[in-house]
Amino acid sequence: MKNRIRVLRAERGWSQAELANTVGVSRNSINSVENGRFDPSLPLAFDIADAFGLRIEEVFIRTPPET
Amino acid sequence: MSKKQDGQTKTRKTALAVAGVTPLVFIGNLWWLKDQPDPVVYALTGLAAAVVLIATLLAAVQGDRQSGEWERAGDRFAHQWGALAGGSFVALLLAVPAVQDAILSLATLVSAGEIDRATAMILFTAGLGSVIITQMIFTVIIGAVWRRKMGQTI
Repeated sequence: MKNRIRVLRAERGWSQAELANTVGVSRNSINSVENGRFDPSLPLAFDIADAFGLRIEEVFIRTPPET
Repeated sequence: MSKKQDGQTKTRKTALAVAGVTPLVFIGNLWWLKDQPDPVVYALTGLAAAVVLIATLLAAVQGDRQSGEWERAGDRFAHQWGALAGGSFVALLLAVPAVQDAILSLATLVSAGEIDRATAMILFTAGLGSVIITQMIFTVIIGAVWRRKMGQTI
C-alpha cells in the first residue's frame, strides 16, 4: 500500500514527531507507515487521514497484489 | 507526550530500576545472609523474589499500555522467532562436545559422585533456565533488529 504522508507532511510543514503526537503513536510508527514498510490498521489509517483533514483514499493508495 | 504517558513512562522506569537493583542488593548481601537462620533466609529470598516479580509485572503492564500497533507487531515478530532461534541454539549447543563436557563437570561438581534427586532437579532447572534465558536474549536481539530495520528512513 502506497501513501502520500511524506508529501502531505511537507505541505503542512509537519515533522514525523508532530504527526505522531497528533495521531497518538510513536514516531517510528509514522516513519514505517510513511516508508511503506508497515501497513497500518484501519483505525490508524483513518486517524492519519483525519489528522490531514482528508479522506482515507486521498492519503493511502492501494497497490494491486503481486501475482 | 501527554501527562498520562509521562506518568506511565516514569512508573515503568521506576519499576525496571527496582527489578534490576533488587537482585544486585540481594547478591551483594549474600555474605551477611549466609550467617542468618534458615527462616530469615527463606523470608528475605521470598520477599526479594516477590518484589522483582511485582516490579517486572508493573513494568510490563505499563509498557503494554504505551505500545502502539507498530510496537506490538515488532514484539510479536521478536517473540515468534526469538523463541524458535533460542530453543534451536540451545539444542545445537548440546551437540558440542565441549558443552557436554562442561555439563558433566557441573554434574560432578554438585553431586560429589552419585546423581541424587536434588542434583537432578538443579541440573534440570539449570537446563530449563538456560533455554529460557537464551530465548529471551534472541527475542531481544531480533526485536532490536526488527525495530532498526522497520524504523529506517528511506
